[in-house]
Amino acid sequence: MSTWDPANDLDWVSGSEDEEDIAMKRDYHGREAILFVVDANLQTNGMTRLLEALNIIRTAFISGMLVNDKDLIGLVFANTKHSPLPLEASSVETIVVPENCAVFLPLRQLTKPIVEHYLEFMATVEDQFASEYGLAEPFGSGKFDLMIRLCIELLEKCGKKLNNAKIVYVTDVDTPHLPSSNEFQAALQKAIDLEGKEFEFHVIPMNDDFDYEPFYKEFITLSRAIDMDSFVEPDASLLREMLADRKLKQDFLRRCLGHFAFHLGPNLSMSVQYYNYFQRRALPRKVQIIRRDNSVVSTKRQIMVRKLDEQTQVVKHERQIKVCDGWYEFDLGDKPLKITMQRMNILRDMHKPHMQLLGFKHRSALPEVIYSKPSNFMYPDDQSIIGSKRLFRGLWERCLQREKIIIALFMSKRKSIPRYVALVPVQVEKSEAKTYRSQLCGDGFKIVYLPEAKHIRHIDMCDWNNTANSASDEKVDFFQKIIKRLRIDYQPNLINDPSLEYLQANLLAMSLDITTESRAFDDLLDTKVQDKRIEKYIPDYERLFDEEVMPAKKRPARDPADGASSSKLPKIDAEQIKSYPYVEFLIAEEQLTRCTVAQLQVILETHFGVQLPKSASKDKLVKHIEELSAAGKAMS
Amino acid sequence: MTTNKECLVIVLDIRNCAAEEFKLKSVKCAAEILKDKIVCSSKDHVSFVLVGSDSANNDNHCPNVTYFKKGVLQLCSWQMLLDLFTFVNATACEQGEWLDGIKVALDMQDKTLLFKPARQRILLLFDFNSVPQNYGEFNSITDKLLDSGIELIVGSHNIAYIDNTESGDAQAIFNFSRKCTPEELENQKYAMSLVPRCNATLCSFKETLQTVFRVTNRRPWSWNAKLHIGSKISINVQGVIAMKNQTPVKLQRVWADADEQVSRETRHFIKGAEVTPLPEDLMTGYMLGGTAVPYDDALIEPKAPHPPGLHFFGFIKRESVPDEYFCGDSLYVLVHQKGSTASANKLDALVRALDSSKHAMLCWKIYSPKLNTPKMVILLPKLPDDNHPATLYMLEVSYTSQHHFWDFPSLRTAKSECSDEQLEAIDRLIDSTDLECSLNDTQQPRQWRQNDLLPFDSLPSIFEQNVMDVLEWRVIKDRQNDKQFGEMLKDKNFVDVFWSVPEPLEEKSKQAAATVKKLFPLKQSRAWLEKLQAKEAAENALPIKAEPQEEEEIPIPADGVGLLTPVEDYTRLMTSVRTISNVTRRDAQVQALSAQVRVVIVTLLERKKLNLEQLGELISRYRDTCHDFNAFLEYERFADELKEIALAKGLKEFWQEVMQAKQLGRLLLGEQSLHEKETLKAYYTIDEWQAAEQATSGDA
Repeated sequence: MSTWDPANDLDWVSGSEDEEDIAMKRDYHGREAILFVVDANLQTNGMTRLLEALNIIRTAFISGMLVNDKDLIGLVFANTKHSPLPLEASSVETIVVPENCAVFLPLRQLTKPIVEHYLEFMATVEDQFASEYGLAEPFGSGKFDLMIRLCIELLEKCGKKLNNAKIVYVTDVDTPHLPSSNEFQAALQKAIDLEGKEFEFHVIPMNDDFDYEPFYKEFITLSRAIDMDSFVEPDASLLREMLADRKLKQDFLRRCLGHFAFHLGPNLSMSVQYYNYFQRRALPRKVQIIRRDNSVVSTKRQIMVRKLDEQTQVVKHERQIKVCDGWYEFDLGDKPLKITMQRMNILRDMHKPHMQLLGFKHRSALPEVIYSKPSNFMYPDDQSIIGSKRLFRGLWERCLQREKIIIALFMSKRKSIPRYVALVPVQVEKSEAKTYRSQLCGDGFKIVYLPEAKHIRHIDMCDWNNTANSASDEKVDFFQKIIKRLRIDYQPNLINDPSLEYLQANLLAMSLDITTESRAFDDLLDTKVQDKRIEKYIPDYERLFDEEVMPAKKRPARDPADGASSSKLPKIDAEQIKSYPYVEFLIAEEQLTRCTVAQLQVILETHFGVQLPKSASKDKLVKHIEELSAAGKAMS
Repeated sequence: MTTNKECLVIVLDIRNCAAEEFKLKSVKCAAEILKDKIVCSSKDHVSFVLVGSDSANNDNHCPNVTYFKKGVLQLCSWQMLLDLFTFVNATACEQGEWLDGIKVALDMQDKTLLFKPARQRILLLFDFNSVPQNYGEFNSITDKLLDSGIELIVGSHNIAYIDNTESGDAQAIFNFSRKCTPEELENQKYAMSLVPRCNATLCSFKETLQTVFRVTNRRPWSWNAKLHIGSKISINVQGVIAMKNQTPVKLQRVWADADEQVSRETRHFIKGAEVTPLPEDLMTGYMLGGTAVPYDDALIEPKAPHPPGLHFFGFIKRESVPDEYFCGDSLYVLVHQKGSTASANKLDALVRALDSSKHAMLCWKIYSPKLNTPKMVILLPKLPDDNHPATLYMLEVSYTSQHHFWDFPSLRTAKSECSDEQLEAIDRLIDSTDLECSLNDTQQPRQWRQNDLLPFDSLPSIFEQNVMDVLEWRVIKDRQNDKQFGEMLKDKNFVDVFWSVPEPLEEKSKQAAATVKKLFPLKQSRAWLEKLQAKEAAENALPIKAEPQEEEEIPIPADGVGLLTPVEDYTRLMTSVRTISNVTRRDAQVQALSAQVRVVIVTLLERKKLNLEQLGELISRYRDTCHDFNAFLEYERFADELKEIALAKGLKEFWQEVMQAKQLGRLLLGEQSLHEKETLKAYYTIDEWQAAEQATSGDA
């Protein structure tokens, strides 16, 4: 890369090892898998529900393809009468497909043909689903345990290492088997299997009056190994909405960023885990392609070090170095001192990952706006220290009630950096059940990262302060009215990433010929609606406020062609420096500093044939010239 | 370009009469400042002045005052730190006037005006003890300080803070823990009067560092933009960074020695094989699942850049602002365009309207025509006060597609219910570790400026502090190997200082925690520890990226060869190992398994009653494997080992019935030569036993 100059490699020694980076590396050990299971019972009340479900899965397919290209996705129909084979019939040869189940797509990494096949299938569903797949007899009730067994088999035999596997059951039947039946017990046994195999199970109800009791409540709590009384019934419509974005409520046990011990005092610690509220922006993976055959080229950056022979300029020795090689250097008189990266790593590893209580403060002590990095969420974990949950709850409850926050020092991972945090107790309010906040998290502590003293910039506003700044009440009233006219209700799904949407829409249009109705960003900036809503106040605006003055430009932007790109007038004549004796005179008189940087560069180039990077400082240039001239004298 | 460079002169007291502890602390303080300047603010100039030196070296003919080097302020370097340590060890005497020190420092500051510093400061670290001082020039010097705009910070020991009864602000005083002499009181009086006379700051050592590091900036970097609401309303604003999660530590990274060339090169690979495509053969694309879709600039129409600035999106209720979704690494404040009353008026009205109706604002932010990616930001009002005009805080918000939705079970379950006694213990812990309240009720002088043991605005940067300390030690102690280095880190207590409850609360907090510990049963889970260890072992053993397994491979069972059914275990494991198609990996597995089975055989041979059938079977299987995998030498060595064991333990039966009968000796390939036959025969016969046998038969 031409922009990279190793000589000027200033490094910000930082703790940039993001928690999420590390979590991503862990994901390297396996892929994510989602196995959709669609209940054929959805066809009973007309095809709309089934179509709706398939549509949700379609969006999930497409968005999955766009963002997480390595994920595995599969689709199975349950409670069908027939079991037609999937397109690649051979893929289910080793799998026992039980009665009343049909595999449409075994777990696969999505490709263009697979999505196209699914889209074709969707077009025929209305006419052919009933005849091709049908409904199990009688009453469309196949055996739930057999369906789960098939799912487990599909996941286990997918041929890839899985890190996070989910079974998503889309249905509108809330009680597949009666509690007294043997099938009910057999299904529960499968729930325990799921827990043991660390497969997540999600049920997505397609009807809003879905009753989780008695079947799903017990099944889900068993499959996640949580207490029955801590089960929170989710809102069905929200779940569907989320699934369309290919989001599922995440299983808190498996998707945490890390476990650690929270020390409350000497010998007193409890185990907790922490989570992030959002992940990094995931864009489709960018690759290099060979133009003629579309084959993917992977690129690797290598840093090469070469030693040249002084006389012949032939490479004497060549070696490749890793990014973690190299060292930090600082001047100490005549000899530079080095700190190797290994030692930097020892330094990074000094603090052990844990959290230490430092004290309590009142809730009001935390400033309203304080920000250093995105917050996290903390929840107890009874796995490592048994009994943590109760202590955590006690602390949480007292902090909530007494409006206290905890101040702690937190080292999240090895080789990260210790940070001061405020732990703010949060809980789900009953009244918020329908809003996004209920989706955000549950009961626990929000980890607010506190900025270090050096992160806070103190700005002296004296140049801005002026008694004329403050506005009259009439002016404030004007903006009150504007606010009233332009209020909106905040929902997080209001805010979509316009550049991502644009890219995705283009990709879909190019590969699958799907046109999406995503609005162009320029439409978002369109002010017509806003203008119309506040139309009647605009005369007030013009009357109340003076016109804006354009800020004075710092420097007149003159065309560099006029020879006026530099505002500095050179003190040394540009013509004279072309003669070497004059340059020597300047060196002898220590007058080089009077030249401009541009002139120094010219001297270096014309007299010494050397080019330094444009970013080189004046000091460096002067020093370099002096050295070269001294060397030249010594030679002669 | 504006650089906010600072010129700082540190005046140090080295008189013999000054307290030893004080002198140590003040040198430490100066070193800390220097270290910070070396690694963080490379443009600042610093110098030192000593008061109380035996000789004098300054331009003002002041006795007992010595300035550093030639009295010229310098850029900071590690060499300067080393020089400082020798400089402060100059021969000291009893006399020395701090006013003289300031006079010399002022003179040095005068010369620095050449650098056009944004800030000039003098730090005086002085022990105001009972040695009398001459205050004849007090007024003229303080007036000069005030006129020149040079800030004076005075640091000393025995400083305490007390809240001013009228203003409520913290005020520094001398702590009268012991009886002072009249001279001492006189000195302290003058030191105190520096505060009203020339706006000096008087502080304790700890606060001194914070005061030096806390700098206010009059000309911050700013982003000029227009805030648009609809197409008609627009406000000129400047965005200024208020908080940024960014470490100022900068170090020069070096890749190779000075006489070597470093370059970064890009290599291309298709399915692992290196290729060298021409640049025009390559195009960009995106992965759509497993399919690569070309996405080149040639295929996409170029778009005109979006107009830069802030574009209004909507007003939302303050309580619905999702602070959990805030992202980015900085917090900005938007202030009106400097000098424009029209913008100031509008912003003031907007901020006050937002505040009174409890609303916030959503906007699209477009930084510039070049950095054109739109970002959603949230603007929160901040009312004007004495120091600030009306401003808006600006924070980035993450997008829907990034959000996680969790399924956390409710915490309030019957199982986690706490008893009253337990809750009471937690309350006691909260009260005894309260960072604010315990100080509120007393009017006693305290050691900290703020009425808070851990104020939010002065949290240390632990990582940076560690880096600086380590570098300092590296400079002082040159040659060390990695082990010594690691030990030095442990030794120096760089870690533990930070990880504890503030000292004044420590004892009480410890007791309260002990009560909590008694009431809450907590037990380390054995299963978890084992899982953790297993995970660690697995991580260390396996390469980071496991190679994708071939479909027909039978996964290797993880259990290994046991002592109960070794033959079955071994057969089962070998079957799966044989399916591995990658030769290198297969051979490695065979080796590992062989080592395992050898240990098992040896262990089985140590039993009192030998299961000869099992042993024979196992050894012959192992022998077969060695044959199949060409491990002749390996088996030969093992066969010799078996003989040794048999000899040592006198396992005659084993030898005859297993080794001899089944012919389990060393492996030979093809037709055996005469020599080979002889060696094999020699292997099977054990002389001692034969001799013994003959002896017994002879006896009979």
